[in-house]
Amino acid sequence: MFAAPWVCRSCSRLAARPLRSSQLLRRASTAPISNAVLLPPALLQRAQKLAAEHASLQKSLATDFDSKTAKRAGELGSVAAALKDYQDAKASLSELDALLSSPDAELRDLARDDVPPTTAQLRSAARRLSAALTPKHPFAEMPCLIEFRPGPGGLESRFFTDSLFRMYQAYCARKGYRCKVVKYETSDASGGASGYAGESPLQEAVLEIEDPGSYDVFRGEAGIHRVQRVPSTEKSGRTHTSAAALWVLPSLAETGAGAEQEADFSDPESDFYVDVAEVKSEVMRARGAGGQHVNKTESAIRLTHVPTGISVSMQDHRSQHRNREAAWKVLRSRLAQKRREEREEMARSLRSSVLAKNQVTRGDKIRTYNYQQDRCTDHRSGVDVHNLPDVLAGGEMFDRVIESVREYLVQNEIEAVIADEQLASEQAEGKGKK
Amino acid sequence: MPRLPPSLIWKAHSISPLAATLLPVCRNIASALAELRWIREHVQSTSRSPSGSQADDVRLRRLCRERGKGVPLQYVLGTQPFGDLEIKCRPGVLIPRPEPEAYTTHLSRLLVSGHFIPRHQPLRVLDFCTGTGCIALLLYSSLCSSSPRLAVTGVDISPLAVSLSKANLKHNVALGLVPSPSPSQSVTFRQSDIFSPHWSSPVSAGGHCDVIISNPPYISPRGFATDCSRSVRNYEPKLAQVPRPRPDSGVAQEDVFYARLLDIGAAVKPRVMLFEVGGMEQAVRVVAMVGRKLGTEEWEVEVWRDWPDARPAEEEGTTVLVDGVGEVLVRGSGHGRSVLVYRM
Repeated sequence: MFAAPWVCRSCSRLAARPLRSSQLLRRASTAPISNAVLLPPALLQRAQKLAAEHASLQKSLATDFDSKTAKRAGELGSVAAALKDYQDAKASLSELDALLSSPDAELRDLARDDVPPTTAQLRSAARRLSAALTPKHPFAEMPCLIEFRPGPGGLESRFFTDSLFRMYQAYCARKGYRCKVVKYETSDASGGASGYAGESPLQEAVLEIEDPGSYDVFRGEAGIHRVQRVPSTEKSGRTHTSAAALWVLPSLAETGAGAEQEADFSDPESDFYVDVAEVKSEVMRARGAGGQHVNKTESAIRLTHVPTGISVSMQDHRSQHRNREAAWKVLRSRLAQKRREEREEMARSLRSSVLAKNQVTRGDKIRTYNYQQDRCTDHRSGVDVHNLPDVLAGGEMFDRVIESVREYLVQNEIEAVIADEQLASEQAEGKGKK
Repeated sequence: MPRLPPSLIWKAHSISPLAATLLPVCRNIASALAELRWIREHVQSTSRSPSGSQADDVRLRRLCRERGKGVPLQYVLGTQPFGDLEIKCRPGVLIPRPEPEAYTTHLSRLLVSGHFIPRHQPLRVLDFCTGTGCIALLLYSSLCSSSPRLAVTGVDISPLAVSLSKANLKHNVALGLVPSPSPSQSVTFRQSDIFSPHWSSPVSAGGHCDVIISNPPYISPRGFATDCSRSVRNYEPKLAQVPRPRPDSGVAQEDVFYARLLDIGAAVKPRVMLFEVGGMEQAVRVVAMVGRKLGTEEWEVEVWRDWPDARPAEEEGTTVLVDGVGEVLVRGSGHGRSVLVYRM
């Protein structure tokens, strides 16, 4: 009769009875519904503050227009809208709560039917609100440059850096990002050796990803990437550990909004501003008279930003002019990143020490590629994927790693915002007491 | 030229035999490897057969051997980047150098910003001794967006140069690097000898000219024998570097073009003139000539170094004293490379 050998009595009784939706629903009366999806109070406080600012900005915009104010108001608009949705949903839920305890049976039923959609609404509003509150990285909308540099570990780390470079190139090709090799410099000291799958000994490379917003996609990739494998040059089969460093820098879009961009790096307030007088440029000078007398093909150029000591050399292109422009671009990006990092460092030192531990800085290793175990591990998100060849080909496995890191970063930033708010409110209280 | 140490040749050979082929002309490994990469990229990008085929290898080796013998890389590859443009190069026409690229870019930036001439005014540019047409084309492409009415004319004595410059216009329009000429914005090239007694300025028929720019031959016969590199002497046209002697001009042989160009300038009265020169000494001679021929009441003079927008090095002065003219401003860093004459 039954396929199963034995069914307990209460279950079989349940199966015999016609199913009613109310049985599966958790009753509203058993727990206050709205609690399930409440946001932390610190986050809500911040939202309310921003919404208030938005309202006052709107008021001032009505009387006199200012493009800066309008921009700020636009940024806050999403927070204000999400907060309003959230508050509406919460209000209607608490109304429903009240109705559920009303003596009228019909009213109770009606209210009960309304609970699930309203809860869903509240949940989505909460998600949108926390997303809107997550501080958008100031460079998030920008294209980016990825710099690849071998770490200590000699030839082996250079070979691996080349693998990483190809991995990102393949990933961009698969994802349809437009990317351009700005610099690709191999060292000539390899002595004819070559790494896994024809890797060349990479000295330094810069990959530019031209899509706006790519900075946000790739910024989690910056840090030390570690490799564990038996190098192709190793005779006795020992596993070596070496590393490559990746820097992700924001870059300025070349095309579109040309005038605006131009203003961007000629504005001393901008992160990208570089005072031309502070940059020393060295070129391969032809000996002798130069000009028509010689026809040198050496087009290398080095720019040094004197106050910070940052220097960029470029020799990829046949035209010195283009090398110079590429070098300026990388120099601007490096300076902008440096300035940004200094500011973040300051903000971080104000935060609680608990959170500071979570922060990953440039010097920390973030990921391990282990060839023998066919594994790639991200040390921040803790994600572990296998099928290393697919990862190194920029395939779907690599997607999973990148996605996990992005989620991790967003989570971290929300926590940082909450910590900031708590700190601010504690300070405010402290002041109030005094 | 000093001999290459065998150890260097051996080292280059161990990296790549082709690098060793290029070493005699490149003189160091880094530059040999860079050139090898460019030649390889060229072979790959122009290859008709599937990559890595035998034919490509043969071609790569042939081009490297050619280059190793001293043929300029630009003749081997057939092109040279100039600003954003790609300029075709052929034997018989001087190869574009980085210095003209630098001063042309700097001048076009000044013109675009309206430094000399208010923006959006009709602009007429004359480029004498245009060669490949690189300066005319670069000025045309960078001024197109700011000057709705623009006419650029390149003039050269060599029919080879004129046909190459026309080919370069077509080539860059096809690549989309230069907007295609229209009735209101044009770039043209013509063959004529500015020393011929029947020479008439291309603008004499219809009005004014705003900018005269020129990279004329400016090397003395002695300089050609002592200062020019071997590859330049053997493979590039002497016509584009050493002016023919003109005893009636009253100036040194290497300066005859400046005398003629300044005469043209005095007649046409442009707003801006820019002439490439072979060094600071020649720059000083040209500035003095400006003082004699045009006078300094109406005209201002500056000397630009190789990189006019760069920060000058410590030992580089920012002024130079010229007899009959006085202190003259010197901009940028490098050798004295060009003389700017303008009136506000």
